[in-house]
Amino acid sequence: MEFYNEMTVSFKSLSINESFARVVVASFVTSLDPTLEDLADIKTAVSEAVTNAIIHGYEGKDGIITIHCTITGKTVTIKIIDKGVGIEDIEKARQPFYTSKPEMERSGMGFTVMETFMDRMEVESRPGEGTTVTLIKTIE
Amino acid sequence: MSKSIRRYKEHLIVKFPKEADHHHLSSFSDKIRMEILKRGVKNIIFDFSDVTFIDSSAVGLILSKSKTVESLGGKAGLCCAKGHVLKVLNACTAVGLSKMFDNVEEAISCFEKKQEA
Ligand SMILES: Nc1ncnc2c1ncn2[C@@H]1O[C@H](COP(=O)(O)OP(=O)(O)O)[C@@H](O)[C@H]1O
Ligand SMILES: [Mg+2]
Repeated sequence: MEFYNEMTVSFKSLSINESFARVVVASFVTSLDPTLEDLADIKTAVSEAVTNAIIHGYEGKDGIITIHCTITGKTVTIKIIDKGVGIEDIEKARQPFYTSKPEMERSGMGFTVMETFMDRMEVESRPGEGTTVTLIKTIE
Repeated sequence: MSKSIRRYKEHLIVKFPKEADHHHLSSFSDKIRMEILKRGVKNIIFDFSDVTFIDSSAVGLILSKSKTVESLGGKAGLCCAKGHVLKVLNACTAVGLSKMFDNVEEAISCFEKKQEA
């Protein structure tokens, strides 16, 4: 039987929760015996997705962010879910340097970082309904 | 002036916080902006020596502040970036966009040499 584990955590869309979110995922993944570099990669990707949910999804307003995390064998799958404004054009949003909030000093590199640091990234979104970002990585 | 932003001659040296994420940078950005606008400030040096975590929020701040000083005829540089910090900067191609130095002194002497030339 392949090892299976899962956890779900929900929290308010406050920027102070950005560090809480990446640390809680990193601790959950520890059972896979990751290297420090694996952990730093995962923390960075989670931080990007959670920050996006706070500033883009909920636009700084009140909301709930849910992280659903599963481990199957050596693979971790992390879903970051918001019920915010959603993304009109996902293709465009994923482009390097694209940002809808340049006045907030955004770099537009969040999705690029998630793609670079994880094995796979998927984005599902509907305008007015919210966004789910799925991050997948196998720990060798 | 707060300890994380100091001034040496015409150089503004900005020391990033340990956890340089969106949460920890939002008020920091306003502080830097006010310092840049002070008389006699020309160049900006971003010092990563204390940083253990960064994401693309830090890169947004660097690019924006660099643009401001460069539009006023100054220069911007990054120093003491290694390990995870360097990896994130590389992923954001920020390394190609800004000059990299091993330490603050190296950045200062490079900026001052350029001026004499
Ligand atoms: N959870 C989200 N909800 C709504 N829009 C989003 C979300 N995540 C990303 N976006 C959109 O995708 C764009 C690119 O995101 P990203 O690459 O992280 O860059 P940045 O955060 O610097 O703008 C954002 O500017 C925003 O328009
Ligand atoms: Mg982002």
